[in-house]
Amino acid sequence: MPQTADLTGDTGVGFIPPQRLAIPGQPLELGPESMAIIADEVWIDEQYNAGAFDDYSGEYIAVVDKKLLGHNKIVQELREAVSRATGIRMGRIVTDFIDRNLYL
Amino acid sequence: MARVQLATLVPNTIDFYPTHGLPAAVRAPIYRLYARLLIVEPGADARLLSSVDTGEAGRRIKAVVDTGSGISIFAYQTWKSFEQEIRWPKPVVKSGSPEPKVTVLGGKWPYRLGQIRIAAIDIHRNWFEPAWTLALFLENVPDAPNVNILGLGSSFFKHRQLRHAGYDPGELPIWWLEDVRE
Repeated sequence: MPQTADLTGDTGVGFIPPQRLAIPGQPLELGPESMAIIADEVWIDEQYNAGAFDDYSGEYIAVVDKKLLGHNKIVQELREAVSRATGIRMGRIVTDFIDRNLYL
Repeated sequence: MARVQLATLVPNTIDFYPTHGLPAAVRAPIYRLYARLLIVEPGADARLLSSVDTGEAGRRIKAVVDTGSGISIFAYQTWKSFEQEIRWPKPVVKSGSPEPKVTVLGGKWPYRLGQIRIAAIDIHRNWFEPAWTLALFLENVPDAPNVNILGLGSSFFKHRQLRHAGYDPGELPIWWLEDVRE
């Protein structure tokens, strides 16, 4: 029996379909937009490791659908600028700080 | 068993000539492990992770896994975007005390102590339940490092282990943070 079977859907934050509740030990069920964000995060890491973002060291980059859409030292400015220029909502824009000189 | 795969990045390499007579320089990659974290609203039910903002890229951050750091640290540009979700406990300091500073990356930087509720996730959709994490939040001062650190004091390390699990096709080491099997 699924762990969420006895839930009424009254979560206190609005109705949430029970099948979308996270079950400990099982992978999250994510929508297509979340999966696209994960794909972008993976792509950023691959490109970073390949040195493709070396020119942006010390800056944030913005990526959507595996395309570099901008860079800026201030992340909020970058999100707003890319969203304004492309019409993409800010929550979909994946940003990451590029630092090639960090030793810990 | 709960577990998340850490992201392996190679920010630097060290090139050197070995002392034992090899003619070519050797390039040694320096790996760094990152945890992918999700800022979770203070009142959100942990089971609702699938439905609260996992799709909001702005709530997803990466932090260097640093088991040599006793506490987590967040850069100003990181925490500024979710400042309203940080709890700021009153510090126990006497009036006139110097501003608290933390030494990171060779410099001393002012910070505020706070608590933030974060979950850990990975690219395979594995996850750890959100937990309140005590952290130092770096102030906005010139030249302060723009780095997030997940320190050993995080609850994500309690009863968990780091495990090396071979290499991916690109020969990057694969590391998991996972529950310890009793």
